Amino acid sequence: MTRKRVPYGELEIAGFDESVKAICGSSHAIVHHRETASYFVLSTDKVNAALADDKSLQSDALPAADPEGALPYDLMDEEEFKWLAAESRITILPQPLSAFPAAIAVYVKSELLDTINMPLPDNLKGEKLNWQELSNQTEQVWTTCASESTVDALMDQWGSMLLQQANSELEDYFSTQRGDVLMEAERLIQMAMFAARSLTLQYAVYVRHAVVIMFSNEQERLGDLCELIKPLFPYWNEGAFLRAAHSLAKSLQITGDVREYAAQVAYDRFTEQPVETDNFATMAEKELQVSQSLLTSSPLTSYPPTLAMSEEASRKVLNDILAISDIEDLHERMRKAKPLINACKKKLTPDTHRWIQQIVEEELKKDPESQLIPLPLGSVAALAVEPAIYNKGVLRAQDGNVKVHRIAFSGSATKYKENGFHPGVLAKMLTV
Amino acid sequence: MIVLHRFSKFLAKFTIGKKLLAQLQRVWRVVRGEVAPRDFDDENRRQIYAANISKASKIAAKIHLVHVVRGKFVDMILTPPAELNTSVAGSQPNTRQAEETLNLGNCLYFYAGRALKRVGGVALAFNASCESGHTGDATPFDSGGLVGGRIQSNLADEQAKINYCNSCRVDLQLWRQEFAKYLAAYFSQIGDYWEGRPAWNDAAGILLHPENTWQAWTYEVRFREPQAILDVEKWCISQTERVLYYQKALASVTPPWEKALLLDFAKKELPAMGTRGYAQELETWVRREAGV
Repeated sequence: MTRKRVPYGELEIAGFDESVKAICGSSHAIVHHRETASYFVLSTDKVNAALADDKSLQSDALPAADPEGALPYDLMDEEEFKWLAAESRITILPQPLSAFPAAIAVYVKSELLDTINMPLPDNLKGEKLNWQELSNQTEQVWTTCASESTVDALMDQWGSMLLQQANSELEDYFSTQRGDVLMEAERLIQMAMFAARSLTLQYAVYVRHAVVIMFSNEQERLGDLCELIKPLFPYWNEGAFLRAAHSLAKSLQITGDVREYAAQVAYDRFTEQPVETDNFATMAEKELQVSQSLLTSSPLTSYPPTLAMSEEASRKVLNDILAISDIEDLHERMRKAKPLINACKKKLTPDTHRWIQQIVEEELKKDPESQLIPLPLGSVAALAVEPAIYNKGVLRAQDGNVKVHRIAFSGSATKYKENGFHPGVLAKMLTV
Repeated sequence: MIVLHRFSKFLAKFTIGKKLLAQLQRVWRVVRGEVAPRDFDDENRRQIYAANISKASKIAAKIHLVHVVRGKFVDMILTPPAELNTSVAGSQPNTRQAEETLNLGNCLYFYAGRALKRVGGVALAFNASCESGHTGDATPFDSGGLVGGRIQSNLADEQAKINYCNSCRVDLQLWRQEFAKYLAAYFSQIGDYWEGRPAWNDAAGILLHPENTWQAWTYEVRFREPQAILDVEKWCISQTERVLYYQKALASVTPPWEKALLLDFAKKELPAMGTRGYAQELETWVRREAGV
């Protein structure tokens, strides 16, 4: 074997450089070069990129006809390969797969798939996934290889589904206060830790673990949790993380019917006319789609963590809104939803706070003593994740009447004008 | 130093003294590795050596020793005495075979400044202070790679490889000085040790052999005794291993002393972005620390 690039046609994926230690995982593929009976890790990292740029390599060794070949960087012979597998340091595939650039192996236990009730996908992001069952495992484990982005997307998908289930368990816990439900939520969250690849999703997972710990008998673990995860997040802010956990805990304690009322009234105010519930649901559905697409492409999906949290909680609220009614007559609902969708496109910008601030400022200009400030539905979702709102006990429905009252700041409207808007002092957004 | 300075000023007053002083200064520079080896037949190479040696010495003094752990990391930390062990029966067969062939004894292996991942979930970087109290040696290549055939050379047979390896072995106490000279002598830019390859060949034809990769020019440092894991300066870890570490540290059933140990050790973790190239992230840190 030389430092020449080896055409992928001469290689096959024989295994991956990790043993099955978790509910799911991913790792670099190990390829086998039959001609030389050698193995090497198919790296996707910058080291190989740097070597490929090596002038001497390009000039005397890199075959121009094989630009897609793999660069062997660290070789193992048959004996070493088998020894590492026997020592459970690498995993051998039962059936070798065709090698391709930047292949990453992914494995998943059936336990995870059963938990989220999801079959193994045949393809994802246009890539065909050929699953095979790993042998010599105590549990049923499936594996395949795909590009790094596809593997990450798949694992994030699993992580998101586990997270949704964890949310449901946490909601159940808050209504039942049963310890076993909290333990189940923790089990799901711990599984999601292995699956979540994106930092945003990992952050959301650890926020939920913080919620579990907050309501366990070992709250002192919260400080340890922060210590352990801060190396993961480059812009770590412990205060923001804990606020997000508190906010999530409180939002999960609000029952769905209250959210329904709040959202309905908000929508009502936005359109300035009462709507039927099913129409409202349609609007909410549309807004959910728009919101999600906007959120996906906006900085909300990245750091700082507070915004990542807002996204999660916002989606949660919107999902619950969506679930309130049956959906009929799609075209009609689409027509009615259009103004709201347009408004969302314009208004649900990455910086929702600034948007809300603008609305409030405009209202206050019109009437400094205003007691009623109508806000679009998107803002309700955005504000619903603000800890200060929950701290003031808002989103409470009584007698079927929810009204959007004025926004009260930490002091008065006068004080607000002096000090300017700050999301942390938002309060009494929705009061009964 | 004052006495030496006065003595040199005294010598400089006489013609013969000047010559003697020049010779003494040259010897001093040779001892310090500031003079290019005599086998340099290329003036350009001499100039590059002279330009690089000062920086190479600083890098060599600071460079971390890196070890990639293969096995259950959490268990290794929590099992007293929490050490990286030298090779033992049951270690990788190739390693044991190479040790026997080269008469190295049972060793614990590090690479100087390189954290390239083969297999394993955790990369550890130890600073120079970890060497105190150890015996061992070093070679400017992967010893197992040479005798095992992964490193190509012009050495005719196994005995020639053994002889060459023996001639290159440097005592652990001296390896950093030799590493500095090596960086200056064989790399036109010191960064090529990490990103490229040597610019000049060695006597065995290893460094410029087109089939060789990084193991052929990376310094391998060997301890003959185990190394305490907790003395590491920085470490980084794969996602799976990290979650296992996290869950163990936070588990209700984990004894308090184990939790305390894991939490304390976690303070030395290199902040990472959760990439699969965690070992490369550690290497980047090592390079930055060394001023490369």
